[in-house]
Amino acid sequence: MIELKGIVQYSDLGHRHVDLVVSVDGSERQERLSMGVDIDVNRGNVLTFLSAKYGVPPGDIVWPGHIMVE
Amino acid sequence: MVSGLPDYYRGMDVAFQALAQMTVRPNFGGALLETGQTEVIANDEKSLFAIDGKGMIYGGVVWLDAANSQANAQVRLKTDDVTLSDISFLRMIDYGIRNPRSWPVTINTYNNSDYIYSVGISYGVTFESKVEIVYFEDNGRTPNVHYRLVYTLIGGS
Repeated sequence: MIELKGIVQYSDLGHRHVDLVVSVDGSERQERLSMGVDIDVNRGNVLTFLSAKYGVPPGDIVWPGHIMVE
Repeated sequence: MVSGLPDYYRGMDVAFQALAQMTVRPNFGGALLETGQTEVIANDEKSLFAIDGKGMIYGGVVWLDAANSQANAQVRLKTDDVTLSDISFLRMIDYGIRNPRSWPVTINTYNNSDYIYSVGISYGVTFESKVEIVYFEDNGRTPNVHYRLVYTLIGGS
């Protein structure tokens, strides 16, 4: 099971970086992934990225209700 | 154990007070570190970073590489789109806002001769959907701002 824990956005050298924090298989350990630079952040992009990364259908990725990205 | 049985033979009976004492702690995820630096343009308000998620701050610090005074600048802590602190470095010094138990952002170092400044981000501030640190430049200069934040993110909805 892949669960999204957080989306981190920060600036570096004039570019906006987007990282994701996820937990895998219910583990308390979290992984931080670099999703991209200067990209739009929306639910579709994030689910597509995680789906490709872990080889699971987007519907199997847990998206917590408190992460309110459109 | 009062019953004479080892603990692993039965669940703990809180009402029976089978154990002399019990340690309870929140099951948060592991601590995470957000770190970086960025240049803030004069008279601008810039987000150093933003995190969408639910969690708690363990602590943090923001400091500057500045060649000129940043006395009127502010480090703003925002949670769930609410600004919790918007006090300038100078005001924090003037009013002694140094105790992290009394305010979310407190002054650590203020040297307006050599232009060395740092502020601390307090332990224990929780956020339900977002945490963000913003630097507000109000001196007409362009400082390089460094930051560190240790926090945790929890799951569930």
